[in-house]
Amino acid sequence: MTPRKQSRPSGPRSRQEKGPSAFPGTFARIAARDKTALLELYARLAPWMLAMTLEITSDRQDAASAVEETFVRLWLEAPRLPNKGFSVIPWLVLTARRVALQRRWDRSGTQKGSSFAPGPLSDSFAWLPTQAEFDRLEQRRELLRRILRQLPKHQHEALMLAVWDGLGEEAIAQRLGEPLARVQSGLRAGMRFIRHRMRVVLGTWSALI
Amino acid sequence: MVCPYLEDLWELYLLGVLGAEDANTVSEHLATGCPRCMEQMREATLTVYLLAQTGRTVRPHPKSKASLLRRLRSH
Ligand SMILES: [Zn+2]
Repeated sequence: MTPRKQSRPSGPRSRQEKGPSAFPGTFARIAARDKTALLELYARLAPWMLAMTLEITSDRQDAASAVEETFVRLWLEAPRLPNKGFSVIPWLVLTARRVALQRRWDRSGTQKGSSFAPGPLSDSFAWLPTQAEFDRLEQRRELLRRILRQLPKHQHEALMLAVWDGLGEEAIAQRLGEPLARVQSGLRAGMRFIRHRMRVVLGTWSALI
Repeated sequence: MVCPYLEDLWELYLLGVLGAEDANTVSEHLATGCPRCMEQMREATLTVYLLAQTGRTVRPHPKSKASLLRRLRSH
């Protein structure tokens, strides 16, 4: 396995760096098989998707290939792109993350994470956020940054191993030299804390949609 | 009722952290289309989406667009 870089990300990007938000009309054009629209989307999303895949793979070529593969999948799915106001961007990011992890596992000859891989876009509508939910992301982003800093150190560490190394709970326990049960309960408690804090500040999820 | 048990698992499921048994419980329940859990899954999707951001950007290779275009032509 490639050694970790020293300054690994510890949470979502800061508010100052604008993340991608809405792309009015772009997905409709991609659905109509407009390659220029896909390339425009690539130009806007690739720089930060590449940062994510590079962090995961530590290999420039694998990182680029994971992003490219994701956009090819999007193109293949284009005729089935949702037209009901769902945001496709989380699907792109989760797909690129999974492809990058697979590249990393292929290289190291091990798979230490578990199973979730986003399926075809057409099977993913049920869990895709709506565009309206996605547009309210900035508030959530800043809040998550603050909440992550409040997590106990061992929970934060376990979570970052999950996010960036793609480790499953057993592999995290091995890496940290902790009992599996402690890692499992720590991860669940950490996510519960994040969710609870978000809901307290942002209102219940139901109230947001 | 499996829903309360799953409440703590959505983000971990999306991150691929869960062991096989829990992951299967989640995917089997999702397949039922339970509206309450779908809502939580969408919330978790946003959280995981944010967690997977590095705070940096990396400029793609100048030839990356051409490479993507070649792949698109073959489909
Ligand atoms: Zn349910």
